[in-house]
Amino acid sequence: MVMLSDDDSTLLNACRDGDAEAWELLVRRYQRLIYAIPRRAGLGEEQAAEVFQRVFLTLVEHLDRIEQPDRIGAWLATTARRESWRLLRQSRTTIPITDEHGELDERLIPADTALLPDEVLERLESQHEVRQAVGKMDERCRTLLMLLFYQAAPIPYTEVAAALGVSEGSIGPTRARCLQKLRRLLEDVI
Amino acid sequence: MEQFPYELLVDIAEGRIAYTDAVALRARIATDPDAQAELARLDTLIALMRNDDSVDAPDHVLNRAIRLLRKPAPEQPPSLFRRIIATLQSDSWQMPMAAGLRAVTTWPRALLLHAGDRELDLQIAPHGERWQLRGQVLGVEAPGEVSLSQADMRTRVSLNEIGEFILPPVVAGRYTLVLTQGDLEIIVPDLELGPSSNRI
Repeated sequence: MVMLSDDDSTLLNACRDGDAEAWELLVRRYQRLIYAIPRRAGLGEEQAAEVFQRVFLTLVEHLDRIEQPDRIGAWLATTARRESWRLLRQSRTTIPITDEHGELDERLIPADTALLPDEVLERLESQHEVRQAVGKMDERCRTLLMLLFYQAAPIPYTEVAAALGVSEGSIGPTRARCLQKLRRLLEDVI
Repeated sequence: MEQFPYELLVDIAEGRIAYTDAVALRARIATDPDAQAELARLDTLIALMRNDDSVDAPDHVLNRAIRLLRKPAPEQPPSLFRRIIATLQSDSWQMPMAAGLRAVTTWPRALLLHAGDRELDLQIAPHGERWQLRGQVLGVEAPGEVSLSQADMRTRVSLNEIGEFILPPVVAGRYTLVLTQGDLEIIVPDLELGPSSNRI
């Protein structure tokens, strides 16, 4: 029986044995990253959904051929980028790139070379690693870090303290301890 | 070499210290390689979190991928031909949203129907002036075909190896969708394709 805390290698090996529960955990673990890649490449929701399906279908087909199960995240991200490029190239052949006068409209031409360069893909993978690490922390740290760093606009400490039911003065030291723990969890990443 | 408390480094990285003070502190910290390296890691970590604008994949997209690893259909003894009417389980146009708002009518419209041990994941989307239906049979892996018919027309396609199908675009209207897999026939009797497809 697999668990949420199992590492990628354990889940992948269970998937090879046809364990649907392990497969679901693996898909849920990477869903946000794999959906973010085509969206960042400029694809719409429908095309991003198609990339998403193709990536996990490719994984099903290659389950027995993945040589480094612990690197499955990088494999999935690279596959998502390749599928995004493929779909963008297809779009280029079917979407009109001329304006109403039949003139070439350069704004409509996707520039492959500018799409998802390595550093952008690496940043998305790092953000995935950080989010996964935050998810593994105790509830107080998890909630605190989500409130402080995953909001569209910074939240004042008074509101954070109210949401956590603690004094405002304890937010600073708690935040520092939580970040220190998070740094340890991410020793190999950052 | 100065000692810099970890909490101070966090305050600087988080931007809780006034700009001019932070600049001065960073200059002092630059003289301590260990503190400088830790501050740089905190800067990176906080920037990664603050700039993470990723969102969850939509439920129907996620569930379709989850069902990719399916058990093969169990062998069954010969049986009589079965015919089942599919029932609607969910409709992306009818899903309640945050703050009690009603969902907007975005395309593709995603429908999930239930029929015996199978589910039909359908997506309706405009295609020029016509309407296209695509979908996937979930739950049991078996070959089959899907037909869409109206009084004077019928179009038919086979399922691919993962149970997906894409029907040719058709004019707006009310259709009957039939999925045939072996001795099972699943019917969606009143499927409306078009801009006002507010019911099936």
